Amino acid sequence: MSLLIIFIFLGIAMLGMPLAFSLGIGAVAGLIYSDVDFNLLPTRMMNAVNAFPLMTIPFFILAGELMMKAGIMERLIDLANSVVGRVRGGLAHVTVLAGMGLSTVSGAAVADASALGSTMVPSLRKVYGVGFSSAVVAAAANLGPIIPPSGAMIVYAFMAGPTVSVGGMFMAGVIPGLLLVASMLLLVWYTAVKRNYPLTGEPFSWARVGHELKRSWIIFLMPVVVIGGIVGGAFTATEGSAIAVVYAMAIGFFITKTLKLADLPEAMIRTAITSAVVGAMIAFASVVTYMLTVDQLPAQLTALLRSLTQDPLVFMLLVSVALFVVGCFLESNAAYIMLVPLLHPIALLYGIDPLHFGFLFVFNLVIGMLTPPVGVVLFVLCGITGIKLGELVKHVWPFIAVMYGLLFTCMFFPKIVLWLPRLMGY
Amino acid sequence: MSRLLPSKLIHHSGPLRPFALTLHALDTAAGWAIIIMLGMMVAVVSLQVLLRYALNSSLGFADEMSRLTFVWSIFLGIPLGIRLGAHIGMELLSSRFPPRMQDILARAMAAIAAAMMVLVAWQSAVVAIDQWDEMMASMNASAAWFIVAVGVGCAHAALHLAWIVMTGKPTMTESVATE
Repeated sequence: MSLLIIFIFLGIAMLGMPLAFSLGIGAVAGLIYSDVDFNLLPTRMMNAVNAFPLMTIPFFILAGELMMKAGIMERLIDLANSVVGRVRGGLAHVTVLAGMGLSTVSGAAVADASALGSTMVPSLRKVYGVGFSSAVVAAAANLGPIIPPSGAMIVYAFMAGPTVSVGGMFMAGVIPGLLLVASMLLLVWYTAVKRNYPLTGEPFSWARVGHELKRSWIIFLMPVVVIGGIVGGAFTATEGSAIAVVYAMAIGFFITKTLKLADLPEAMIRTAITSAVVGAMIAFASVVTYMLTVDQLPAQLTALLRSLTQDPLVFMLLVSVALFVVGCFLESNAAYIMLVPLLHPIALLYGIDPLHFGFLFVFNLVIGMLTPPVGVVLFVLCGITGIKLGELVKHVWPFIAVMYGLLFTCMFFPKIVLWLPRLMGY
Repeated sequence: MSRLLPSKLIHHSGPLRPFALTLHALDTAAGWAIIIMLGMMVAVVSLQVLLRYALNSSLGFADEMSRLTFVWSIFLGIPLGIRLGAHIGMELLSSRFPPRMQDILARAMAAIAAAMMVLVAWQSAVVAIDQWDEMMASMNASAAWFIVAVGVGCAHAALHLAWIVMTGKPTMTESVATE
């Protein structure tokens, strides 16, 4: 039965039906084949999304939308410019640092790519050309799901179940996220020196940095309050994300005063539709997962993998290869929803730390957003800058190589990922 | 909301006009319902934190109400996602077919998905009727309202998919979305 479901799902999805609905068709086929009552469909679909922790998805998306409307991008760019504007490749450094700042309030690569692309690319392309500019923005946007809060980590934690906490996943992303920023800055500097890009920006001054910090500290207070509250146990991830929405509204209405009441309905509808896209996949996938479990596919998959290797490191390498292939063809949320329930329990059987495996899983698929043919972040940049996909891929490969370098470093040295979560009690 | 749900459907002429007007009215109602639901979710969850720390008390219905509004916002958002063409799909293979074939394929896929949505909506009605007497734990309302959300969302989604079957394109194409 499992093969029938997978075959029908893949066949229909390849013909262009949205993944969520393809999962639904696969589930219906499974129900017909195994003669199970159809009323399993609505009950399982409803139960799958009837979960308090899942509300973090719309809340963090809405908080990010409102923060953008509140005009945080301009303040983040000014701050980054005051710090690294005069370094060779200054504007590209600014983009990476602005991406890091943005990722502390947003948590979604696509949204960050859109925000960074529309604000940074016009100035970047004048100095570095459209190829390198688009690649830097794409790489910087990919910090979104690594540095907390992260929508991808929330979905992973939800699909993995009680062995993984959202707070733990958030903490797992901090050190690798900072290392990734440092690696990207190094790559940008190396490229700028090699290509002899001109110096731009004003000379560094502490007074200017201080002035920009005064303007933007209010932005960075949000992750401190929200993530700090979640990790410190003051409130749950869902409550923290709701507070992020209230905080973003307070900034937009009373501090920057660029947010209007009329902006709220549009932001809320966009949020609801984005959440519904993920929610629909979770709902339909829950029926498929149930059918596959009844058919004992996870047990069969476990036995197969255990017969191939007993080594956790080899298992993680196999998963990485599989996720590289999956990331090339499947949107990342769909991959979390379909693969985490299958692979996470197997990782536990191999004795791999759930946070370590979870972080590597997320990081793998985040890199997948930069790999063709289904690299969604690449598509966003192509749309904004008009660059051809092939041309963008040529410029983005060094960043992908840096990311894979860090991924394998984190795989072989788990302490990089686990040190902070352990320190925080996870 | 007018930018996201433009009234293009209102100007649709021909035999499908009544259907277009109905869809537009349903979408607008769903849009406003989502805004209310999302607003309630934010208000209830953040109020819960405020009450816990400021007054050392809590809202007994907060958890159940926020989950109920969340479930409704998800299932009401699904048809609006179809309208905007927001649901993620793989177009690697289908985009390589000739235009005529692509059109036939899009309509066929929409028809299959619509049939599945009708099945889910129908089953939701059956389950909701069956569970109508079960009450929620913290609110004086039937627990079946959770399932009703699935039925309403899937029925609405089926109508959007039916539109694609009849016209060959989503109710709002990309060019309309940016109007």
